[in-house]
Amino acid sequence: MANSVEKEITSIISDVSGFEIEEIFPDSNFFKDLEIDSIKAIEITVAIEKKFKISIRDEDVPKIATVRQAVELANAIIGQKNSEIVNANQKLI
Amino acid sequence: MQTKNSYDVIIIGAGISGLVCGCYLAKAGMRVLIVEQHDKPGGYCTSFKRSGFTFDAAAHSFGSYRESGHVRKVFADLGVDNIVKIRRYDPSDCIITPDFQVTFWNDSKATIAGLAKIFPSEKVNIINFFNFLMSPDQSEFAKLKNQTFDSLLRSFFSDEKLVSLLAFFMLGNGGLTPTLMHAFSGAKIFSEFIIDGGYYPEGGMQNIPNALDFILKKNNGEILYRRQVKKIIIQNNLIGGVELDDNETFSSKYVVAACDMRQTLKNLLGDKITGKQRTDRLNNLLPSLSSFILYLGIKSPFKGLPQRGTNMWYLPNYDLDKIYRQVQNGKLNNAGIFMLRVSPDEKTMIVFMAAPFKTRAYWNENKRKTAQDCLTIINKMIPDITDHITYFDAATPFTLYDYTLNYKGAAYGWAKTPSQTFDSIFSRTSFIAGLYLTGHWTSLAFGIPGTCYSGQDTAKRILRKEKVLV
Repeated sequence: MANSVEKEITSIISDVSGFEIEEIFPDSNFFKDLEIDSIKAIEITVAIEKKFKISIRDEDVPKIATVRQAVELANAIIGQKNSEIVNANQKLI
Repeated sequence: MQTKNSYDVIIIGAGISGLVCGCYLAKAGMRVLIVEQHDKPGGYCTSFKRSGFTFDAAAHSFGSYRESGHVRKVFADLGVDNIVKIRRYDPSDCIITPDFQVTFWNDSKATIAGLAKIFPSEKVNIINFFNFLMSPDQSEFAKLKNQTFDSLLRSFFSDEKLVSLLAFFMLGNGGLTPTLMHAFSGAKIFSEFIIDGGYYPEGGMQNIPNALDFILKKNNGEILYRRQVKKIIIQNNLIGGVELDDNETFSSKYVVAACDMRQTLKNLLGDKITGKQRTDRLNNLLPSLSSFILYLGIKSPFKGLPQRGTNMWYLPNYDLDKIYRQVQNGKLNNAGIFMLRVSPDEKTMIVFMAAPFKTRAYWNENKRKTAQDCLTIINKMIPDITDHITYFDAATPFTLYDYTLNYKGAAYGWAKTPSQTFDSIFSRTSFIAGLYLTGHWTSLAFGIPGTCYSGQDTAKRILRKEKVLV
């Protein structure tokens, strides 16, 4: 799961930044290494939201500055969403 | 050994994004060909001569040229600033409503003071809003991801008239009502078009694309005018080149579509290659509004002539959603909004009214009446205007389409709504290796700042692919 999330997020970052996938590493800094500006930062955030059908809180957006941080945040939200679904299903049972 | 019709990159369209992209690539040593259907470069940024008058066709001034402005950086990188003298006009913009007049000075402190005088209870909020717009903190803008410009304004202000006044630029400079405009695009219209607006190239807007044409050729690039690309050639899912309207073919490793996205995907590639999912998506996308433009030749400068080089906006009431609906329905007279600009040489005036595309037959039938209605409305700003003009012509949304082939004569590409942004279809790297897109149909950027940005960004993508240092 973690690997596929990382792969998808790297692909989004490559698409938005124009950097090749081979040039993007877990600790690549969006702003220093990948020339990501405000417009691209929004594009990446929303593309991640759409891809994983999650919602990233506004206050969490500035916390995403590396690929690793984006993957960790996405995994945390996906995990939270899945546990909410499990809880809801248990209640239904 | 290169054959005659073989290039590294072929760019479709010599608008600002195609030219900027081509110049960066040619300067990096790539062999570039631009194909343009019109007889001159510029896209919406052209000028034309009639009866001794020179008119800017659509783009009429630009922004983002401060020390740290992106357009300044692009012009300096390419050497445009060595060829064209750029001058800034003060004030850049002025909004007139039935209740007040607000002036947007080059010095934003003066603008803030003027606004605070009219809306004293909002003074602190006005300062905070301007500070927010010019904030260098990129992450602050990232927080705007799901907002509209209207909701952004309401997070600062409570005065309805002030909200409408500041939101009015969305209709004029974005072709969309502020309740639908993405907060990021809206914020950039404000910071890059208005707060840092008012720049103009000496001699007319055409001098910018002319300079880029010169720079491209100086770097061994070529431009074909009055030629239209009929087909993008794909071989084994890779770019092969392009076929022109006279069946001549040109081969290249890369193709950049710096033209209308819908036609690129539906006609130049074809529905089969584009695929049903993308075609369905394209069919459901909303473009920005088009414009109806009046071109007026002035007999001689007269008392009451607005200040040259200033965009004068007229807002008859504060219900922008209603105005947007009236414009969409072709009721330009009821909508009553317009922007008038006296050229820096005080010889011409251009007047813009947001307008719907409709049909060719509709505009053939209504062009004259719309132009007359437009003059009647302008009388509110300049009484007896007809006494002072000696030349008169108009462009309809179809004129804009005919000269640029932009879908529905859209002035700013796709409508920049939150739901229409950040879709992979808008990406500058397409689903075909070697095919790139650029210009105001991609991403959130538009206008001269946006097309300079996307042209440079697309060039960087190709240079990275070629492992050329960027």
